[in-house]
Amino acid sequence: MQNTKKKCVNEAILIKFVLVGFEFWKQLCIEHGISPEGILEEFASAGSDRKDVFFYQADDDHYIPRAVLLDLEPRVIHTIMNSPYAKLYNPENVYLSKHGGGAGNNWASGYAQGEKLNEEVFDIINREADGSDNLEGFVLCHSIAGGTGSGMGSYILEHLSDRFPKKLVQTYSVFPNLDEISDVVVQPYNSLLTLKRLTESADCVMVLDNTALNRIASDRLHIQNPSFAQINTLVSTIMSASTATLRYPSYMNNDLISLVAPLIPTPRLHFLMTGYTPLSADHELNTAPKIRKTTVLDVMQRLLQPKNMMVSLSPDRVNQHCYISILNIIQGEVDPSQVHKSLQRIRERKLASFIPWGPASIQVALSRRSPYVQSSHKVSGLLLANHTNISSLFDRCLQQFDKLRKREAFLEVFRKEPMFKESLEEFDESRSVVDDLVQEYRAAATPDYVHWNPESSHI
Amino acid sequence: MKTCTGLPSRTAGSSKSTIGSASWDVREIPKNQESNQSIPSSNSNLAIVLKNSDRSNYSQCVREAVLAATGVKTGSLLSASRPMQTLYLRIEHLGFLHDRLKEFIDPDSGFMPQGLMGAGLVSSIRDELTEYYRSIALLQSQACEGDGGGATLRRLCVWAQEPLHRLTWLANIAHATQHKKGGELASCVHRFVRHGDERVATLARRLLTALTYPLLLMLTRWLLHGEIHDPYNEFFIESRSGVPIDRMWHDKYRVREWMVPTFVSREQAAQILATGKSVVFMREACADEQGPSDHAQHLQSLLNLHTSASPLERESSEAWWEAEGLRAGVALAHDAASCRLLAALTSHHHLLDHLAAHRRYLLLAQGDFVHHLMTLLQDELNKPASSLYVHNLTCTLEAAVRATNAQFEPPHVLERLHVNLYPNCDGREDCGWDVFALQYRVDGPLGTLFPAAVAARYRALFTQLWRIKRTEHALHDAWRRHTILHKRLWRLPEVQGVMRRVSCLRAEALRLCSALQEACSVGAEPAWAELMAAAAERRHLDALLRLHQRALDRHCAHAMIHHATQELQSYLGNVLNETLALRSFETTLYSGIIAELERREHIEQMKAERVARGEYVFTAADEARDKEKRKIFLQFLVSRKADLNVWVRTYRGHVTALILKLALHSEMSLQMLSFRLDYSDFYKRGDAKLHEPLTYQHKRLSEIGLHLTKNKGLDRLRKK
Repeated sequence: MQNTKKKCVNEAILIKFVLVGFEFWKQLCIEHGISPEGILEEFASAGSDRKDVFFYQADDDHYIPRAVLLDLEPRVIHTIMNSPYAKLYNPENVYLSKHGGGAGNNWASGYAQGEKLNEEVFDIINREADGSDNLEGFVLCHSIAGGTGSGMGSYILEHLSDRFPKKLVQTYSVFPNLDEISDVVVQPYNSLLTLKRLTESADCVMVLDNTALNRIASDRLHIQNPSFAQINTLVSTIMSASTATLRYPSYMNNDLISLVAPLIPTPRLHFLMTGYTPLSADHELNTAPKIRKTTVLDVMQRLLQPKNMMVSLSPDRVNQHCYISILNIIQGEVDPSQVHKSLQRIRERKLASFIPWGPASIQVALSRRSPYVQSSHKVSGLLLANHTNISSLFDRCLQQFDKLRKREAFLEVFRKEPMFKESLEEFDESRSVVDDLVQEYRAAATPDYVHWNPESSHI
Repeated sequence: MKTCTGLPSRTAGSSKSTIGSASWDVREIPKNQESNQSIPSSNSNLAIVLKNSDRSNYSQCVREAVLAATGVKTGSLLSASRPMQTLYLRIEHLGFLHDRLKEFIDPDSGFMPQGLMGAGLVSSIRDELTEYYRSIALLQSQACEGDGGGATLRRLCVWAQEPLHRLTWLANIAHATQHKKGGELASCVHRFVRHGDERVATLARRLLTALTYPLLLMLTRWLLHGEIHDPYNEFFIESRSGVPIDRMWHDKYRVREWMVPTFVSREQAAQILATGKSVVFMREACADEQGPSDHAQHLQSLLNLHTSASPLERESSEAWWEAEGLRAGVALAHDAASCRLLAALTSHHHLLDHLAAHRRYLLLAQGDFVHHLMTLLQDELNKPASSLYVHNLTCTLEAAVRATNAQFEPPHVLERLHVNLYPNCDGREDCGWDVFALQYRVDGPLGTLFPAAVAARYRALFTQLWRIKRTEHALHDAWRRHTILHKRLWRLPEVQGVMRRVSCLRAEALRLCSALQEACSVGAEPAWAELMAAAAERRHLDALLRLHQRALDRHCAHAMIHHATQELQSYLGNVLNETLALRSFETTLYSGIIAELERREHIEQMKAERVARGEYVFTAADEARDKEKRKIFLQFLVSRKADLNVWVRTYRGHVTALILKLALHSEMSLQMLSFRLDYSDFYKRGDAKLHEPLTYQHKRLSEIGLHLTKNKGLDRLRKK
């Protein structure tokens, strides 16, 4: 999970830090009818989709992803370069650190290398940005547990907003599996340090939780010991569905802002959960007979069930958690009149509770589906939600961090890097930022959030 | 008695014979009499009884009776015995009927029906009379030969039974059709076809076939060539002069309801109208060369049989107006003709593309284009309307087309997309947003689908949707500015409170905007889908027009500019205006905050410079000035907060009013919108007024109310 990728979109530049990126582009190519070499397939010539959101056309009409792939070690990028999709990418946009040593799962090392490679990396990003006519923002895909994605990602995050102050920065951040003991021992440190940047520098974070992804893979898809590729397919499904309204324009939600602005009421509450149903891991894997009946009501109800969420939340008995906002992107053959009925049913059954300090509702965006992908389900849906209980995820990160921090464990690897040479203040600062975030999310569940004062809650 | 029983059977047989051959069975009558003569008893008995003078008197009487049958009046029978007088009167009744008919077919009498079809009726009545004369002549020659040929009054009476029946009904028909013409005449005669007496039905059928022959010719001409040749205004389709070409389909031709013969149903009349109209439309509006049209094939077999075939053949088959083939043939021809028309419209005139383009560009379904255009235009449109120029905006439009998926539209769509400004004439100071509109110019045959009235509706819709979109866009812009500003705000913890409040309210307004748009687009979606499917299926133009109108109605209703939703429009307008007020409030707030931010950054910078120079970092004067400024800034924030509180009250008041009005509206989908606007019951908690209308019982009542209003509307229509 150390592969570093950057992507660049007409409306959004994608910067990617996980193998997910590879799967995502594969998915996009299939959906838009583009061959692995970047040539438009014949059957896809007359489409109403917007390919230029994520691709641009070279002089010879090849479609080239607006992507920047970054990594500090060669393994994953080599895998990509040996795959059929190798020719898809612009080779200038694949950046591999010259010494190739990786970041050793150390946030500080990744951050330091990011600083060192700053110029070269931002050259690539600038070039891509210049090549886009209407750049709306950047999308960054990374994991927050390792070294490269978290460290270098943090660095890029911090500096993107400096260099492109008017552009939106959206991230797809993969949170580590907190249930298992990771082989990356400093993971809590890495997570916390990255979380601070996500809180302060990103405009919208799609939280993808490895705990939940693994659980979904094993419980819902019945895959024991899911592989990275299978998990990444899940993630790329989410990514492609959440960008569907950008790529298939209709009345609403055709740009990044209109997608996220209604979901994020105040700038700090920008961590979104996702959910997707119905899921099928792979076409060959899913040989089980179709017992699922997909209707709009069914899909919308399932989307509200915690087991379909890509984030695992621990129940909180103290605070009454609730949804701040919900957007459902429904794809497939949908009868619009069903939407209303489903909304009514959901309210009757009180399946979702909403914030008390303002109006809230389930927004529904009906989107087209790629005509080139055969889906076995009539309707599929993606949920983007801002839920106050996401604070429990950060809370767990804090707890894990505190456990290590109390014992002063593994701090010497961080002390090696210039940033932490003199003091570990950065840790405390990050902790207080994340703690503030948790407090704010908790406050958002209470009726007087509008008048909430961070200082008072500290005392 | 035998003759009596014999006659009907013969007439029944003769009814099958053609008009040309005599149907009076005159040739049979003498035979009859001859056969009667072989019955000696009755005749000889009578002869024995009668004296010679009486005998000649009697034969005179018979002759007179025969003459009386043709209306010649003689008074000589007054002396005859009573039974004879009765018999005589019965025969004389024939004369009376004959006179009536004679009068009817006499052009000078004023009873003769007018027009070609009237002439048809007259001629066939004349034929009938001719036959009648022939039989009278035969009868007379028999009655006058020698001793009267054995003719007696009683025999004459027996013979008269059948003509009497026939002439009676002819006279009845003639009486009923007085002063009528054309289709009305045909309907009148057609009533008799359904008479229970088979002889009457046969007679009427014969007359009807003859009189509708001109109608058949007119119909053929109309169906095949779309021409109307109707000097006496008898045809049930009329053509009106002075109709411009774009209104041709709607106004040029129409069905004269009272002229539609009863054997043509209302639907058939409409089909016939549409078929001919399609032919004319193809020729005139689409400038289509007259090729072999396939709709003619369906008619050919039907019409040929009745127009070109000899009268004898015609009579042998069913009459055209009751032929089974007519209904099916007309329906098939209608299908073929309208299919051909739609094919021409879709292939040569790109009907589907234009329909889709109207929806995409005027109703904002092409979201990426609309968003991009709005982004490009927003600075320009913030200027006053008087400083805008169409050519500048056109350049922007082209730029927006180039950058979005609109570039893949075919040229015939793009060349019709224009920018236009519609200044208000009431002298208000408008800004660009108020006057800007996209326009889609359609001409040629498609002008039928998109006439000026429809274009005006599209413009009204565009204005409304554009207004909502613009409000949403402004909120998005505010969101973006806040997000960017937020990253710098850690220096100014005191603004956090007001910023949080303002962004929560912005989220509230934003949610409302998206819900409104969702309602607008999703609510009308099924109607549009139906229209597009029908157009793709090449359904009839009339059906398309109807569906188009319905889709527009639905969209207008959801955009709250339909006449049924007019009162909501002002409530919605209030909400949108308040939302824009929030936007300008935010602009003031941001500029105040940014000024303060820059001042502080400047102080920090100054401090750093002074440290570098080794001076005092912060003098007492500086501190005092800083304190003063901070105080002013805090004051600014306090007054902004007060503004915001006022705004919240106004805004929520307007939103509550809108939700209430929506919930009380009879349109179901608007009730749904009210439900969605207050999905989490937030406004309901704030305002007790909202409780009642959102209850189930109220909903049910309002559904009943909906039916009632519908019925009332129907009643009103009927009265009209």
